[in-house]
Amino acid sequence: MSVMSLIDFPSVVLHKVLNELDLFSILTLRKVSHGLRSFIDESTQSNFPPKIRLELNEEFILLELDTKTIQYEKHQCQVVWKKDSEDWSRGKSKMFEEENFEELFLKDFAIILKLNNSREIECFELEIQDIDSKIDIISSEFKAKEVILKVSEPDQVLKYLPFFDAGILEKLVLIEAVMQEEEDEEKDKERFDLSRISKLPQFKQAKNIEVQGLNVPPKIENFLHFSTVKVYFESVPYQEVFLLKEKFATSSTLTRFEIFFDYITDDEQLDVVLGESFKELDDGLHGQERWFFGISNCPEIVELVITTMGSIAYSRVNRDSVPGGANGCWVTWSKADVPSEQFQIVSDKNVMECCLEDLQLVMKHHRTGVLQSVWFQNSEGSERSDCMEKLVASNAILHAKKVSFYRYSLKNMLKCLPSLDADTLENISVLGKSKSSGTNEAAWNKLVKLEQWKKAESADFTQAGFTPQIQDLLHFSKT
Amino acid sequence: MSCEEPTTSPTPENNITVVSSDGKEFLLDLKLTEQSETLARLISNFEYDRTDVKKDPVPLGNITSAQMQKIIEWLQHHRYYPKWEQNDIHYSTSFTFETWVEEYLNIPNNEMFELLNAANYLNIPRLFSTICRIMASRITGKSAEQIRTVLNIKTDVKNDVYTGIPIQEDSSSSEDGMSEISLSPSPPPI
Repeated sequence: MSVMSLIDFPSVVLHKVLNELDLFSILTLRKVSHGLRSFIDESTQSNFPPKIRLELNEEFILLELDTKTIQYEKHQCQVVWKKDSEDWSRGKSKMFEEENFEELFLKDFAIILKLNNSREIECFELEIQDIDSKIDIISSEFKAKEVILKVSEPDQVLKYLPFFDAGILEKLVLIEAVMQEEEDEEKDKERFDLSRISKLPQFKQAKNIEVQGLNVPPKIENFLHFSTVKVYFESVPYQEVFLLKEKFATSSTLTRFEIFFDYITDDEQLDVVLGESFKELDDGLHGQERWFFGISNCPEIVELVITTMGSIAYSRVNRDSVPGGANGCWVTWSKADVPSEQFQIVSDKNVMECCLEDLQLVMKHHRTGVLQSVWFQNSEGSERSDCMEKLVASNAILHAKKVSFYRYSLKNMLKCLPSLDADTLENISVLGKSKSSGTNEAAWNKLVKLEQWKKAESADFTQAGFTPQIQDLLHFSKT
Repeated sequence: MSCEEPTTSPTPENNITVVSSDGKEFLLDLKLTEQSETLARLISNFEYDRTDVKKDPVPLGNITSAQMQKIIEWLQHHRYYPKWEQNDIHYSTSFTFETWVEEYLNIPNNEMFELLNAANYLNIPRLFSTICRIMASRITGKSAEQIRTVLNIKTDVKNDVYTGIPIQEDSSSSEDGMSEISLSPSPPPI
């Protein structure tokens, strides 16, 4: 019986064996026999490494594949290779004195690409340290989901990015290449012009982008079509930060936009254009400011975080994750006769701002300019008075004939009354006990001195938690 | 012992008989045949799992009795193992094996290849996959020359056996194939 050999097997067996092997073993197998070589070249390898890293230097070319690193050196055209985990001293080497290291690399790389058979890989990283490198790595479109280009000039991006299939590319990372000779020079970085790069389909179609270390112009418009953006701007004009707020809220693609910066020009203007940042006591977050902005017709909220470490991050957050009292609120309304039919909008103002603005609108456009009645109701158990303080501080004047306080303490009534127009107010009524009931003499004394109290014609006290003093009620026509 | 000599007594209800290429009969527990997709399909097609159906011996024309014996040993060992699952997308090759498996497959290459063929024919996925992995583990880390020995490949690429002409290389820089990087990944000297 003849001796059986691997090549005599049905292709399903060979495939299965090949699928268990790493790329390097397969490359070795190609050298074993003609039969195996043609079989391997015709079959599709499922175990092509997910990541390829390539470094082009004047003196050498470095290729990282799988767990192996191969270096093609210019000097004597030496090829050195080792496993990832090993030190170079344990690697192997071979000299090809008659050869050119770049050509040698290209031959090997062509075989590797042939094995890839134009299937998708996860990541291709290319670092170009040799500005004049003549290497044209790929002849046709290469399918990689993520492309990392370490470059120093836009021309390099223009040269290599078109090799990658724009339809497959999801994430583009542009990083400044480490150039040895420049390390000790602290010269100003040249502007990294994106205008031509941004016209490439790879740039237009990618979903995510990261730019690190390159001095790109601080213009957000280049990045508005992405889904996530991480970009470094040396200086950011505050106008761009504000513009981004508008663009971010209306964008259908952007989910996160991070800017790392050295400084923001005219950063004191930020509070003016963005409004006051949200402050929460003891939130444990130091060195950062937060803003929340509502988006019209959208349940999500835009969150902006600016840190003192030099980062600006816009993101979309769920309404629920916005801390209470932060900017942005829901406004719900219904008609008195159809309470079940509710309407809702999201406002980008906080509760109080929103309420005051509406109140002022109501007063401005009211038919007679004077309301029949204003009802102040204290929610169950709530003793927060900052709303009223803001109401008074806002100088909004409510013109009404009657004011009712429900479950209000004297102290809080004292805060509200000055917001009512003393000239129109006729009746003051107090209903229900407040939690902090009891007669607060100081508050009472202040209350009765208010013009609103003096000018009103009548007062009602129903189950109020305090006893009014008779002498202060004598001026009313009806009590 | 997992396999039994052919008996003259009536075939028990839960067994079938298979006949190897050299005419030897083996009585196989139906439970064991579940691991072989080929046999399981045959049994279901002929309804051999029913007691009222007459069971003819199943001829296995390309499996020798020695191979059949070896296979029954495998089936017996994995009798209570869960059903073999296809590799999922996150599958990564592992070259570690149970001690029992290592001993079981500690056989000459020839026998291993024959066993692989038999496992392929009978469609026993666990055995098939294990042998493929064992073979891959024997290829990994070896130079082309060492692989030729492992795989019983006698011809050398340097000169085509039929024409005597040196084989054309992809890379002119090396005697065979890539710039040797090919990375012949035999472990470096310690």
